[in-house]
Amino acid sequence: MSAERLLEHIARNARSEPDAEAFIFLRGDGLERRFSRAEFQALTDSWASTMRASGLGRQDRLAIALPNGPHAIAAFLAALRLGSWPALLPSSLVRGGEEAFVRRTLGLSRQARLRLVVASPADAHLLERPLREVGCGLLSEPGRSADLPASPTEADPKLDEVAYLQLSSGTTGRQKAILMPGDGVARHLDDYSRFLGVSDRDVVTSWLPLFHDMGLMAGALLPLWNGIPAVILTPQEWVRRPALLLEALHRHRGSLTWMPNFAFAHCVRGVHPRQIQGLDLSCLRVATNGSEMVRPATLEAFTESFLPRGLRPEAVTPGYGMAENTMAISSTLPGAPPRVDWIRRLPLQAEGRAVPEEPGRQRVSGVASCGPPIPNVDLQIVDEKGEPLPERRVGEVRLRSPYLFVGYLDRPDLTEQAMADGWLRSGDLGYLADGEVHLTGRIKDLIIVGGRNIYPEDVEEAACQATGLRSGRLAAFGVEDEAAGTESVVLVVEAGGTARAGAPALEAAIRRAVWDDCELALREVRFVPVGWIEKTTSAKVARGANREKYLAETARSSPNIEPSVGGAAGSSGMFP
Amino acid sequence: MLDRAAVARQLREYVCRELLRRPPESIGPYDRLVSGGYIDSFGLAQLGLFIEEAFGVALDDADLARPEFDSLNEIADLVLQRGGAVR
Repeated sequence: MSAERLLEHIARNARSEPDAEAFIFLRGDGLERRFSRAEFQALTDSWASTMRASGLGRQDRLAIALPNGPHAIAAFLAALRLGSWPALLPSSLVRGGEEAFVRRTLGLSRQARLRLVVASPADAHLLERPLREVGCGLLSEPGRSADLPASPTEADPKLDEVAYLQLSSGTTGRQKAILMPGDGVARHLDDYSRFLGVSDRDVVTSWLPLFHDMGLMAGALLPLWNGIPAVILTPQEWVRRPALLLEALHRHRGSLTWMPNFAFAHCVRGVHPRQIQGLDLSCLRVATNGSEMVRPATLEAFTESFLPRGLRPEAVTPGYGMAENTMAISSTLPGAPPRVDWIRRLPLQAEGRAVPEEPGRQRVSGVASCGPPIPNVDLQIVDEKGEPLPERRVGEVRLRSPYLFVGYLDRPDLTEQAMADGWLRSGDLGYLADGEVHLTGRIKDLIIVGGRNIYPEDVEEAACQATGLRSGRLAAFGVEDEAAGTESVVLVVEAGGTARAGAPALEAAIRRAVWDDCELALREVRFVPVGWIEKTTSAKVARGANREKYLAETARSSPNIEPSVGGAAGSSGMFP
Repeated sequence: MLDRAAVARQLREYVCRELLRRPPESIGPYDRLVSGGYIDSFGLAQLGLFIEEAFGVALDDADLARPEFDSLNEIADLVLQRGGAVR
């Protein structure tokens, strides 16, 4: 069993102080459910015996599609004990409701050849019939075992180091599942916790979904590893009431939290001053901003908004991470305030050089430092040929560490593409300055919307299916949404005269399809004349070039608006 | 006196200006904003806050999750039901 070290460590914490608080699960209506370490071990025991009695075994693949709560974490740990490979998935409570839930869960069960799905009693009835048809088992409560159908996969001794599957992105049927190394995860928890100086006085507070890599690490594994309490909210309640997080931090004296940049912006925009009167946030020690580009404007707005509530400016901690490296790659040092590197925009765009400049001058961009690599992570910036670049030169970020992923499930081709001479190619562009990582853009076409990875081809595919248009006549790309502190997705569609007459209906069909397939609201569907879309020499859609063209046209049609996002990191010019 | 059309108009202005960034006439009173893929859960949260501020009504989580909380007219009806008033 590859998660041995992790599980033993958690069990030891429970034995040493069985009555210490492990989790407090909060609900929007103020109810809370508390678990001591011993109680949580007991819940895990009960899931483990149910799974064992059902016949779940080594390297069997299963999805745990439960709401953010005790059962999701306990069932996950129970599956690790059996040496099976759990993947956490959203329940029907998030994104798209029941229909999307069934499509998503079934899609994964087919694609990853799951032996079992664990769903809440409320969701289980939706899956009973369709799962039976594909020969996949279903559990909904600890204590109620079921005879699982025979395992559709065989154990592979070469993959014994794998502990679980982390889904990173992709639509139904095309999910990318990362094979996570058990020992690597334990080692990462150890290294990263030391880096942050985690002590028994710390309290984690998290609203992140547990199916998100940062949510699982921050909300469950890191607190369990360190034996510190975690206060867990649900993402759907937090989205509607971002003040819930601030109230929870105040009430439970939360000292550690993690969230993507957009969530910091959502706290600023979505919280009314009267909701946070009297709160004291001075307990917050590390609020990590990670999992999407850190925007300097968001850092500033967040600090300014909550300074009067006792927020310490140095608590805001920009970081850089990837599930392929378990979680963190680099992070600002705890106790150090966030740093913004002000650089001249033109040398950056023209030559990939980060030349320092006084802030406030013309054509200056601020790039947030994501801090130095954490100990045991080797990081390089390389040019197109893979040659290391000196400081302040922009290139691809590559890394090596003891916690790199094992590969992508059933996709050796993707695994091979991701690696170069033992280094992980991040697909991110950035530079080093004083040894600290600064991200400026991306080589890969990936779009990150609110910390969620979206592939433009998935959006284009959904729109093609809905409209019957050929694939080369659509281009999806991300544009900066400054107010929301994240990216939003634009779809450009080539439509001839007849199609344009029906544009409103076409747009409605496209939006509906993209919503259904990708659970994404498009920022704009723009119809353009045939021939508008730029192609590469190999006749593929050149998404970067189309993005530039779109931004230039937008700027021309409304000259007062600067389309390229005011020059924060991630602004258009930083894409090659 | 606040009527449905007035509420819907005010909602439309906010949705188009703040959430969609497009001209107000581009959204009709019956267009499905949520299930039609125009606004996501974050947009919905912003809209909820706007409604509470602008019309002085309290909405709970269940209101925003209702499938009928979708078109401008439907949302306007809910605002009126709750006794919304222009502030």
